[in-house]
Order: sequence, then structure tokens, then C-alpha cells
Amino acid sequence: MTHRAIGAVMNTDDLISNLSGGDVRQATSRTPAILLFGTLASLAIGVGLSVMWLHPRPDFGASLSEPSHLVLLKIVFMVSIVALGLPTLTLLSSPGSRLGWFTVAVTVPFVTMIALALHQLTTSLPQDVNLLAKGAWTDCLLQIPALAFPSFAILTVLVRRLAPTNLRRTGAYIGLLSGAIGGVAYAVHCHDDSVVFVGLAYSAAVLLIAAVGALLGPKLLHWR
Amino acid sequence: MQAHEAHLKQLLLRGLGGDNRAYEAFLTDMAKVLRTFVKRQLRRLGRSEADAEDIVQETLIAVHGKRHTYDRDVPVTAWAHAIARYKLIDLLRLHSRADLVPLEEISEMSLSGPDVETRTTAQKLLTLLPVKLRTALELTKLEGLSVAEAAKRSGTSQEAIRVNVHRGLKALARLQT
Repeated sequence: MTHRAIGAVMNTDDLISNLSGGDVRQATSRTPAILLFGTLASLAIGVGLSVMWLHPRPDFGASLSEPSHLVLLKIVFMVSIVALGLPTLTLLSSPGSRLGWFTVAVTVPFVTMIALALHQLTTSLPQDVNLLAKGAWTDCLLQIPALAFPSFAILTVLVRRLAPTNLRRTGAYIGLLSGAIGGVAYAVHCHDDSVVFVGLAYSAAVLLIAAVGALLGPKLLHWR
Repeated sequence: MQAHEAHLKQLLLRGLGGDNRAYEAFLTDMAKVLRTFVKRQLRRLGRSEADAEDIVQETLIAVHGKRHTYDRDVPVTAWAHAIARYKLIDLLRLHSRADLVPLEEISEMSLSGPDVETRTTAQKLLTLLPVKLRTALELTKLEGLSVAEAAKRSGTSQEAIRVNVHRGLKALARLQT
């Protein structure tokens, strides 16, 4: 181990012949499939956890076909965040991809539901608004993050193995996706079907997890 | 730039298909593109170009290690530039942190001149390295194992051994100067 040997290995050409010496075969463009798989697996685990831990509401099957469709609305709200956020997370995990206008699409469900909730809140009678005082709020804000945790971990591990270059933003999207997956899982159990509750409490829970993702992204997603 | 793009993409795809010569040519030409890019970025940030080659090498290692993230719809140069920008920021941050570490211990090590047994010096220096780098160097350079054997023994991939040997030797060279 002389100075000369060290100097030789520090040469970029030697590094290149070193890197290209092994088996370099590799399939490309697999990022979308990997993340789609991760998302579906997360959904299955989240819902499974909710069923085992919180137990589904007894009327869950019947409530889906209820004429007001409020339970269905909860699930559509959360699934739309997952569906609109996943393409952006895929782009964020592939270096050099242009994000484009589609990135803002994920804000549409939030804006719509929060607007509906606020409209309902300002136009309804005070005794109906009492619904807000229920313990459902704390349940929602604690149990959605708990149900989101496995998804957050799965997506973090998968994305780390890809190549995110904007770690804060990528972390925020992992938070959004896993939060919404937690929301789908929670909806199976959740008894409160008011638009005010779904629009505000569900949104708050998901955005909270997105904020945590943005905060932890640079640490958790850092790769060498 | 257009010519670069088509040429590099063709070499990379042939490389990923299993053509090692094409892959080597891809990395060689990519190194040139990256060198220009990294130097320009460093100038823009008002930093010295002294670290340029370091960043190019780390980017090549990352391009290689993350080649599964290459998307055929994205220009190869855009992909590599994004990785280079990430590595550049990362290394500049790392260096500014490393400057704060006291160097007494390290300079003491480098006092051992050529009259000291090279092997012992190397072993002493090795103890200053992170475990992963040290293991890779010990197995390949001191025990004389092949990359494949060293990978098997340490339970990592051959790729990890190659990269860690490279990083380890670079770190040693830095310690000795």
C-alpha cells in the first residue's frame, strides 16, 4: 500500500474500469411499478390493521350504498389523494424528471373538501355543529397517523432505494400518500359521517403527516 | 448537447443490456460531461474547483449504483445532472462539516515516515476509517482476497466492496497528506 497505489486508484479512469468490471445488466424504468406495488401493499396492510385493531363499523357494507353516499365520499376523498399523489412521488424518485402541472392536482381534493366543510359549517344550525365536539376528533387525529405508520415506513424504504434528489418534497409526498392510506383504513372504522368532520379532521390528519414527512425527509431519505 | 444525449443513451442502454465495453465507454464519456457540469456549478456557487474531480467520481459511483432508476423517457444527461447536483450539495455540506473536526489525531498518524513498516502504518491508518471502508480494504488489500471472496466474507455485494475500496483508498490518501 504505497502512495503510488493510492494515486492510481484515485484516478477516474480506474474507477470507471472498476465500476464497469462486474455484471452491469439492469432493467430500466421500473420505478412506477415498484411504487405502485408499495402503495397497494401499504393499502392492504393499513386496512388489515384497521380491521384487526379498531374493528370495522358494523354497518360498513350497508353504509357504502346509503343514499347520501357520505361514507363513500370519505373513501373517494382519501383514494383520490393517493391516486393523484403517486405519479408525483414516482417523478420525485426518478432523477431529472420534470414535475410539471400535475403536481398541483393533489391539492384539488383538499380544497374541494375543506370548502364543502366550511360551507356546511357556516350554513348549518348551531345544534348540528355540536357534532364537532365529539371525541371523534382526537380519535381521528391519532388513529389516522397510527394506521399511516406502516405505509410511511414501507414507502420510505422503497423510495430510499430509488434516487430522490429533493428530499424534503419527496418526504412530504410520502407523508401525503401514507396519510391518505391511513385515512382509507380509518374510514372502515370511523362512525362520523358529516362533511364537516371528514373535510376538516381527515384533511388535518393527512396534512399533519405530510408535514412530518417534509420534516424528516432529508434525514430518512438521504442516500449515498 | 443533442449529439451527446443520443450517443450516451445508446451506450447506457447497451451497457444495461450486458455489454461491459459499452458501459465503460458510457461512464468515460459521462465523466467528461459531468466534469464540465460540476465545474460550472462550482463556479456559479463561488466555490473552488479543487473538489470537482471528487464530485465527478462520487457522481459516477451514484450513477452506477442507481442505474435502476434510469427512465428511458428521461434524457440521460438530465438524469445524471440531477444526480450530480445532489452529490455536489451533499459533498459541499459534508466538507464544510469535516473542516470542523479537529485533525490532531490524524496529523500525528501521518508523521510516521517511510522508515516505519508500511504495513503497520497502513493498519494504524485503517483504524481511522469507518468500519465499512476498513473491512473492504483489509480483506482485499491486506488479506489479498478477490472482490468476490471479500464480498462473500463480509456479507455484502461485490459492488459495495468495489465502491468501499475506492472510497477507503481516497480517504487514506487524504489522511496521509
